[in-house]
Amino acid sequence: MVFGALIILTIATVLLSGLDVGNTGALLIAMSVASVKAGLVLYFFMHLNHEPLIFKLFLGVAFFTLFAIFVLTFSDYSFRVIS
Amino acid sequence: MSWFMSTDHKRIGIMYAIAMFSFFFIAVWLGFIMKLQKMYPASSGWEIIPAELYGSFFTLHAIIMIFLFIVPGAPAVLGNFFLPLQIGAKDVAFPRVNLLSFWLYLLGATMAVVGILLGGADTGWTFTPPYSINTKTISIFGVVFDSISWMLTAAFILGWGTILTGINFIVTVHRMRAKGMGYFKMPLFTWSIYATSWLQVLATPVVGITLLMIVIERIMPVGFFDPSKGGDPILFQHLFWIYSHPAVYIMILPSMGLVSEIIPTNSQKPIFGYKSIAIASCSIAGVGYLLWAHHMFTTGMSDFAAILFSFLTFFVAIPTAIKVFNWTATLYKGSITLTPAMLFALAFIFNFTIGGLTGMFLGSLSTDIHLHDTDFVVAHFHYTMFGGAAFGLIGGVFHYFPKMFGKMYSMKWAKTGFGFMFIGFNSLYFPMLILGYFGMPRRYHTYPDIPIYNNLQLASTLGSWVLVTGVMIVLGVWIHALLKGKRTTEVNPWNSSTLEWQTATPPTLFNFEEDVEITRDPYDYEAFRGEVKAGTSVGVKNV
Amino acid sequence: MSDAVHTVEHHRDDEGTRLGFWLFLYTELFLFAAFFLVYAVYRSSHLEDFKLAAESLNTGIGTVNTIILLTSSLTMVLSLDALKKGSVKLAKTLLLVTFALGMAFLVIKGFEWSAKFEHHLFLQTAKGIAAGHGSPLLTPGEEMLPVGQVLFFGLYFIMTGTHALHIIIGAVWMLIVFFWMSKGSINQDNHGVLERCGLYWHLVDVIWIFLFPLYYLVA
Repeated sequence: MVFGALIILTIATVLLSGLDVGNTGALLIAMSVASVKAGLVLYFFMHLNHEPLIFKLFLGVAFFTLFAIFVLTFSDYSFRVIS
Repeated sequence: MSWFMSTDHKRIGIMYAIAMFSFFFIAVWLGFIMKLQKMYPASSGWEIIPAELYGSFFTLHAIIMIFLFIVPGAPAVLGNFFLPLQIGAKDVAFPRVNLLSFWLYLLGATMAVVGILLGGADTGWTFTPPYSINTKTISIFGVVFDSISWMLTAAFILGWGTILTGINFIVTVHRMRAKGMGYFKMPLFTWSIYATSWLQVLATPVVGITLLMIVIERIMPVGFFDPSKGGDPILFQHLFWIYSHPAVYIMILPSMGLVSEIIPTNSQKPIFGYKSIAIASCSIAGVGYLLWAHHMFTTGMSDFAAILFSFLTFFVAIPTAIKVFNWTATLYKGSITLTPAMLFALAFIFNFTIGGLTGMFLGSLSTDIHLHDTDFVVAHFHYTMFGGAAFGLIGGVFHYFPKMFGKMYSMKWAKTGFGFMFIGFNSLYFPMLILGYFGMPRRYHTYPDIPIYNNLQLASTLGSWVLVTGVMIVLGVWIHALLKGKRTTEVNPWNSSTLEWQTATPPTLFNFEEDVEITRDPYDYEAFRGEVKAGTSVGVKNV
Repeated sequence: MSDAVHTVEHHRDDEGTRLGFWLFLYTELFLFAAFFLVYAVYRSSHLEDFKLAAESLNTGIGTVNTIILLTSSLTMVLSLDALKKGSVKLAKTLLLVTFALGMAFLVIKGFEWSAKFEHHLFLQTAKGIAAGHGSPLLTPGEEMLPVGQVLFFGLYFIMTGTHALHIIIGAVWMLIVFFWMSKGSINQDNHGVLERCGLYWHLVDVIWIFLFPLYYLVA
């Protein structure tokens, strides 16, 4: 079931964190796994799969906004030139 | 007392109005004193309030105007009263939450006023660290009172009021429209409230928690933004403006919506480009979310970010300009009536155009370096917030006043008030554009004795006197009308085609006596005139 | 207007109420998002210090807590399903299990925190550590933690603290729901309040899903 998948993903993310893939790689893997887990909770536990389209549209708006905030903030931090 | 416990959206709207305009009144006089202080340069011996006190004055003026007046503003008063009416609903989606919003507003507002009186905040309404982290304010009574944390908590509470209102309005628009009212048959004020509500829901939490982070940093040595602990003050500014820039669209969109109602009504013809205005409202909200760092060009953030944000900033001008063109086009060949509401709406277009254009100078990097933190900025945002949002709100109140209260005001005095306000407003703020260009910094309580500064400051101060006179006249017109105004039950005095005018004057508890069904576009004046003739809608006959 | 309660009869719109509640959850999400953004910015500029500081967090305990919270999410959704099918007793039992798991999470967190306080890891002065607890973070005699670690721990306590606050709110809510279920006002036909409590709880879980790798798996 979904729960089983969540547990497996949790264990997976712990084990994967030990891999030597570099900092960015580790972060990417960890965040991807976390996103899948969160997606499972949102879709199945929170019954988003049964809800009408508008619920998913709202989620899209929220996520896109979050994404924009992070990307735009890092347009500052990633490009700072420390002399 | 029954009012204070009422979940009726109309009563809640009126309660907000009384509170908000009371706070507005106070903040106007704070502004008056600030301008009086700057009437003559200090070297001439002129001082009304000293520098430290001036800091508290502009902080308080801004906090009241922004958080207690314009942000709740049109949504709280006219949105609450008229959103359900415009879509044919009996109330908002969550009436009890609506009342809670009002109580939170009242609590936060009271806290803010008490906080200022007890210790003051001189950080500016932007609460920028590290000053906001390290500054201590000691209360008059000798007890150490952290008035900064108090103010920040008040802002946090106020924020929750607007968030809950935003949630309420979004669900109301999606779930409670009358039969036949598809999304593109909703009036434009409703569209503007809808777009505004999304900003309220998604932007306010960010600043809420950011302000709490300042409180936490004041109490605990955590190092969020304090450079001495490795924090970055610029990060605070990012988080702060992630809300505070969308906040200005929260302030302006509803007033634009009101203009979109007033102009077709007083031109007796459909609004030009209905769909593009509706979509433009949502575009302004969406794009407006991505521009925040144009407040930070001079802070030291990366050049790449500065260029990116400047580029994005120019985009928001497009949907805004579309609206201005559409309003103007609506006037063409219209049967124009210069009601007080119409005067304010037309003034909105004039003022907001100046405000928007001056924003372009600020959005452009090279000019912003020169103009940042000068009176040019102050004039820019007063042109948009006051000349735009507040003029729009006042126009909206004049437009909807008879419907809300069943009382009519003096047209003559209303127009007189308008005249004073319009002339006074431009006399006050236009010189500041020039002053800023000549380098006059903002938030300064005086200036050097130079002719260009002296003359413009004097003109500006005199303009403020005319403006304040106008504001007092307008408030006086409303108060007089409420207390002694002629009673009216006229359902549709301006012969407007939108649904909210088909209620009783003032509306009954359940708004509509029968279930409503929509069969035409909201601004289809030809069809509306047919309905009035046939007796299926109420209007002014023989128009 | 009369002085009687001036209210419109409340119509019931379950889907609308859910829609509104999801919007509320997004506001909560954005509250945490601000914290995550601060974390992200400081992590990107102080990565080595973050990794060093994170070594003091016990991955095993963090994993256990994650599994506890995921399990509580499961029991919560099962409780709602049970109520929708009319099995009130089962629903109540599962709700209590959810509550207990939430409490377990808090207790474990409490132990984690007290261990940190013991090591004076909250304040940036590190006298306690320098006195010889043998932490890998400092060379003996050093007074202050490096700023990157100060930032890490400040964020750690505030973020997990805010998260714990939300667990407490969720737990209290569960007790209230349990009480109303016993009274019968929350039942098969009227399960909205339990549903919303569940949604809130799931959000708290989702927040932790992201907190866990960012704090415990950095090293």
